[in-house]
Amino acid sequence: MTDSRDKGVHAHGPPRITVESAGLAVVQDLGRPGHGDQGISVNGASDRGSARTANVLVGNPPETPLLETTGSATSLHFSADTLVAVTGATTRPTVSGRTAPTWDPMIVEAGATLVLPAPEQGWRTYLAVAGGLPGEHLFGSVAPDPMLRVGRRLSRGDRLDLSSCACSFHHPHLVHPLFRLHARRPRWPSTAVVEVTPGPELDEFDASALRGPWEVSPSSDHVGLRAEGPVPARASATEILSRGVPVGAIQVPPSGGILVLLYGRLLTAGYPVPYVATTVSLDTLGQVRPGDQLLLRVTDVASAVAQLLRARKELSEVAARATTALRGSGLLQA
Amino acid sequence: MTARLDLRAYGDAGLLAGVVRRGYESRWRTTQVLAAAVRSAHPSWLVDLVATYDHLFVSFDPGVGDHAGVGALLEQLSDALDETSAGLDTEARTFRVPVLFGGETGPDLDDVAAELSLTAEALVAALAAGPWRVRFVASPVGTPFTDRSDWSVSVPRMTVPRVAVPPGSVALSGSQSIIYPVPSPGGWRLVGRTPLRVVDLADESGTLVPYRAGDRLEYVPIDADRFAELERLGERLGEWLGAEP
Repeated sequence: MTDSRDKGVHAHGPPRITVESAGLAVVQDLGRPGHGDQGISVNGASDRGSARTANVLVGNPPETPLLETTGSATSLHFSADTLVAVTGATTRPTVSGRTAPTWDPMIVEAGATLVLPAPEQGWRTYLAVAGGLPGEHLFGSVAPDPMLRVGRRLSRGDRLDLSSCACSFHHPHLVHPLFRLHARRPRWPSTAVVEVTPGPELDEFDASALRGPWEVSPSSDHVGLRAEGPVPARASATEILSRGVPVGAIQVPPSGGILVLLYGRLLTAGYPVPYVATTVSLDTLGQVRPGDQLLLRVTDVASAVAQLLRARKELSEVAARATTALRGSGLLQA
Repeated sequence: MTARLDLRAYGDAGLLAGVVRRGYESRWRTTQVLAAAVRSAHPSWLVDLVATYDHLFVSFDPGVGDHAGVGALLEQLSDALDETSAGLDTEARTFRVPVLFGGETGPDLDDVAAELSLTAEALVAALAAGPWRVRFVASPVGTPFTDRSDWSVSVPRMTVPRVAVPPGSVALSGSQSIIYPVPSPGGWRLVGRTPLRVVDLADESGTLVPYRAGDRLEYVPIDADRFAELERLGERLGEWLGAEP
């Protein structure tokens, strides 16, 4: 990690972020997988591709705690020159009033304020800070979980102590991108195409009735995305005994519409599951806004896995480029 | 033992194994023993397991394993299963759970009793008449899903779920019973509450709750004074009167 604090020329006290204003902003990571036998939900970042990318752009491991804002604006004051990256929703952040880059690393100067405005497209913005954000770990994660009563939601005046700064780094145009690392910038159109693979109860439904468009309900949250539409007829009336359900399961409740389970999902349920969203599509689901339209597009497991492995490869390539660039400029220790 | 597995893809990183076997009890037993066998095998692709009444849901890393490979291991383990090996019975413990039934702590007791054509007293006596088997532990956090072979009723859920159920609430739905360990929303019918602490979030040893699949819970009716006293003592479930072997 960077730890190049010099004579304090570029720092006003220890490296720290002070929250000037916050919408719905939480310290987030990739959650708590692997505790299903104790009823602990995974939780964590809703758009994991964006969260991982933000982290690797500043030289962090992909699962490092970072900031996730949802559908709202947040403004942060930095006490020291700090290496950061903004990804996720389409938005135009500013540093001291000047437009700042997204999907590439940048340095926010000591004394400057970074504004993450409400998103223009998409719903969640990620801010990674070199060295990560502080947070209380429970079962290996800082991710908010209302059932475990953990998680840090930011409010005005909160201070986040940082483990490192970029104090000795000199760059003439600090809010310009430091490097162009060519991370893929996803787009978040208001009609989201969600790729799905067949689930265990697909044969109980007329597939064409499930395609959509479905309208995303404002009552959606990190547990599930509710989308309104007609009641898809089910050919079977057999009751399903509660069983484990994956993140991404598309459930058809008797009340109509569909419920797409997200990372905060309860571990078991008894609704029929005609489809499961692909792992890559979960990122898209993390960026849909209330009122957006969802269209389900059926794919097969092999294609979904191939797509996931491509996304992982892209991430590791971005990480390698970031590491090389950051080390070359002394921002990251070897 | 003979159990066939109904294997179905459950997303690009999941496999659902339905246990096809005669009898509710044997299906549950096979499911739980199979889950224990998968855990002991430590396959490198394993992310998580959720074993319930008659289904095993396996989450895996598709960068390490694939559906065919995961399915093959399940089949292989299932063929070699020894029902007694997981200690579902030999290691099962019984936990006594003091419960204040009815009143503010069990607001649905009278309604549920009426729906079952019982008096409230008779319902409490029935609920306390024998141990409830923990079939699995699931959401929210550490919830024991229990039932009893001599309790076959059909308690309907709330039409509109409660926004906040107090922790320790003992609740019924169908012919099952649960204890809500943490404050959470919920649609089960509340008949009583235990003053014991069900989960210990500070215990980082990994034992969030003392019970696991196969264990038994015994509801012991207590009065309001005893409830207040136990609540003041702040004992954990599992410590009260000890866990009996």
